[in-house]
This record gives sequence, C-alpha cells and structure tokens, in this order.
Amino acid sequence: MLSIKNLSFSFGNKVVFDNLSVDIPSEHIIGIVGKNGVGKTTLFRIMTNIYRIQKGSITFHDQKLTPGDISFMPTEPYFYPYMKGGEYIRIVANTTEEYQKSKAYARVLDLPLNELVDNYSTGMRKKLAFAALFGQSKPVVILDEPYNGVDLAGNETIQHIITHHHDNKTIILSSHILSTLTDICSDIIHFTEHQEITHYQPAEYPLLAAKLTKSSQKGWSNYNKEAISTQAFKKNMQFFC
Amino acid sequence: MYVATEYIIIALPFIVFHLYFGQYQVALWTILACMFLGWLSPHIVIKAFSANKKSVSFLPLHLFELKFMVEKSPVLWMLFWCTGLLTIIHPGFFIFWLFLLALALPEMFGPFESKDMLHWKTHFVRSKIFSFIKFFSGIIAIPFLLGIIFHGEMTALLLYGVLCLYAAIALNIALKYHQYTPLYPNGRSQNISGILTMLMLLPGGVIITFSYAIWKYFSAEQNLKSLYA
Repeated sequence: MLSIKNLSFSFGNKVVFDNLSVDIPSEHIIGIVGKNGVGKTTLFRIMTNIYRIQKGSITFHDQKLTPGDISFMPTEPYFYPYMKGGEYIRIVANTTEEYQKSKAYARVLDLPLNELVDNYSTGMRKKLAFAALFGQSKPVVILDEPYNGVDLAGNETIQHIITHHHDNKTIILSSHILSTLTDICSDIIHFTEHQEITHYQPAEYPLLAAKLTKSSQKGWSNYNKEAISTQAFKKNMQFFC
Repeated sequence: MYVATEYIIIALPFIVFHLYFGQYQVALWTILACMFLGWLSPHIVIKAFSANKKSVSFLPLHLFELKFMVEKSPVLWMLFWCTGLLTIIHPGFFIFWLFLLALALPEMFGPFESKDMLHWKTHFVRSKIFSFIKFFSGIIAIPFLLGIIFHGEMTALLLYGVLCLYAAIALNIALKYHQYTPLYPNGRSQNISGILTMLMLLPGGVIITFSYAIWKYFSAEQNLKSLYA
C-alpha cells in the first residue's frame, strides 16, 4: 500500500493540501482525475521529492517512500540538448535489462532512436520519456498525463504496454480523458478542488463519468453565455472593425 | 563558396592594406585562409543542426556534457585540440589553450539533465568532478608533456595551468548541481564562473576559485541529497 497521511502543502498563502490522506493500493494501475489546479501534479512532485513535504508522510509498504523507488514522467518532459533518442534511453537505464526493455518499447512506439531528440515532435518526446521510464524496474511508476500530445495509435500502444507489461509495479497515472483510464485502471481516484477524494472501482466508472459530465455542465451553466451571444459578439466585433 | 566570399569581403581592408604596401604574399595567404575557412565552416555549422549526428565513440556516455558538446562540432574541437600542440613553440600557448578550454566549461555545464538521467548516489558531485578531471587529464596530456619536454624550466607554470583547469572543472560542476532542479532545463547564467576563471590568470587566483568551488560543492551535494535521498 502507498499511504499518504495528513499531507499539508501550500505555496505561500495558497493552500494546496490540508491534511490530505489517501491510500493507493500497490501493484495496481491507478488513475487520478480532477480539474486543472486541484493539485495532481503537485502531489506527484511531492511524492518524488521535487517539492518537499511540509507536513505529513508518504510511505510505501510501511517504509518511507524515496525518489529511488519512483520512475516519474512529468507532463512536459525535457531533454538534454543534442542527444539522440537512443542515447537518452541508454543513460536513463540502470541495467542492461532495463535498457533492452526500454529499447523494445521505443521500437513498438515507432521512435527513430538514431535521431536527435531536439527534432522530435511533442508526442514523440512523450513516447520516448515513457519508453525510457517504463523500462526501469522501480516499484512505483508515476505518469503525469502520458497521453497528452500523443497520436491515437501511440495512445493505444501506451495503454497496451501499461496493461501487459506493468510487471506488478504500482502505476499511477493522471489523465483528462476518462476513457484512457477506465480502459486500464483497477481503481480511479477523483480529486476535487474542495479536497474531497473519492475512490471508484470499475463497476462505478459510469457513475464517475456522470459526475464529471455533471460537473462540466455546471461549469458551463455558470459561464456567462451573454458574452458569446450573437448580439454581444457583433457588438464586440464592431469595436475591432 | 558563398561563405568564402563573405570572409574575403570581411578581410578586404586587411588584403587591400597589404596589396597597397606591396606585400602580395600576405594578401594571397589571407585570401587562401578565407577560402579554407569558407570550405570548413559548413562542416562545422551544419552538423549542429542536422537531424542525425555522428557519435564520437571515444567519449563515454556518462560524460554526456562533454560528449554532446564535442559532437555538435567535432571538426572545430579537433582543430582546437591540435592548437594545443603549439606548446612546442612556447609554453604560453599551453596556458592560453587551457584558459580557452576553461572558458568553454560554463556552456558545457549550463543545461540541466532531466531527473531520470541523473543516477544519484552518495558523493555524486565528487565522483563526477573526478571522472571529468580524469578525462580532461587525458585530453591535455600530450600538450602538457610537450611543454615539459621542450620547456622543462617552465614546469611549475605548466602545472599551475593544469591546476587552474581542474579548479574550473570543480567550480562548474559544483555550480551546476548547486542550482540543479528537475523543474527547468537550464540554470541561471553563470557569470560568476567566467569571472572566477579569468581571476585565475592572476597569480594565486586559483586559491579564490578553488575555495569558492569547495563552498559550492557542499551546497551541491546537499541540494542533490534533498532531491534524491
């Protein structure tokens, strides 16, 4: 079990987490959903020591979770300049076995490993980071929005690799596209801006989908429709013309 | 051809000056040098922007900062290394050569590697400094030996130059990891590194640089420990 207990974190006066407690089952694929700004990325950064814990604790199998236990893929991975894809994979791998695995994933993802990463597209960079990190044999893998910018075929391949090659690792991934999580996750955790945390099992995924749809509809109804009504639009356009 | 013409136009006042005073040979050598550089330039520049690169295999991947920088323009670096052989003529060439090498270090250690590329272990910064010093010792070995053979009386000066380079390596690596964060791909500009490198040209300047490097070294080890331990 990966346990987050009484975690508090704030950026100055802005409180992100106040006594947050959540248990994440280990050796499973866990999805995390929530609106922008609820703290998903912040939580990942705290887990990986990029941000320091201000209060509380994070344990994995009752031991303090250390960054050495985690492979973390950020939303926008960056790469060292003038490096080839293959070189990146070789540097990231800790062992020959990890290197072979990552290389195999990269091949499946159709990556030109002999080319400079500087010339990769956003999606290719994402796939490269995924291949390199997923090949590592660390027990916890955190993937922050791994599907962003990746083409449809790439998304399916990533899903396939996660499902069939997770080797009993604890995989935590966030996404804004619910279907990419419901297809592969055994548990989805929903974060809200009020720090309410709800676990959803596969049977409850339709309920989660309905809740998220309702939430977005609520957001839409709050939106000032007047601002984009035809008359107002014309009026605004007159200002520019 | 375009680049060669450009270089000739730039050197035109110099060429005209020598032609005016009847020094035709100097003018001819200048034009030939411009043509040679014009031929060489595309080989140096285009490689840095091509989709693929040719790996310089003798540079190990764990020294990626040096490897990737050299691979950007291997011809230029090869030529630069060859100029170190001018130590045969005068030991001053060796000192100047080391100084240029030291000035390239801030750019070499400017970008940050991503978190996954950094395999932290205890005393990571120290190991990195030693592996770079070891490798750079190999790079400067031949010019240094030439200096000792041809200008034995200046051995102390040559050794001081080497010490300065080692101090510059320690300083740049320590500064890099003192600032290191996995959130951004680049550190702040390291003006202090350039200033302290130039300070080493003054007698005893290496003591200040080395002391500063040691101070930053402890801070760098602490920074990485907080991120990885």
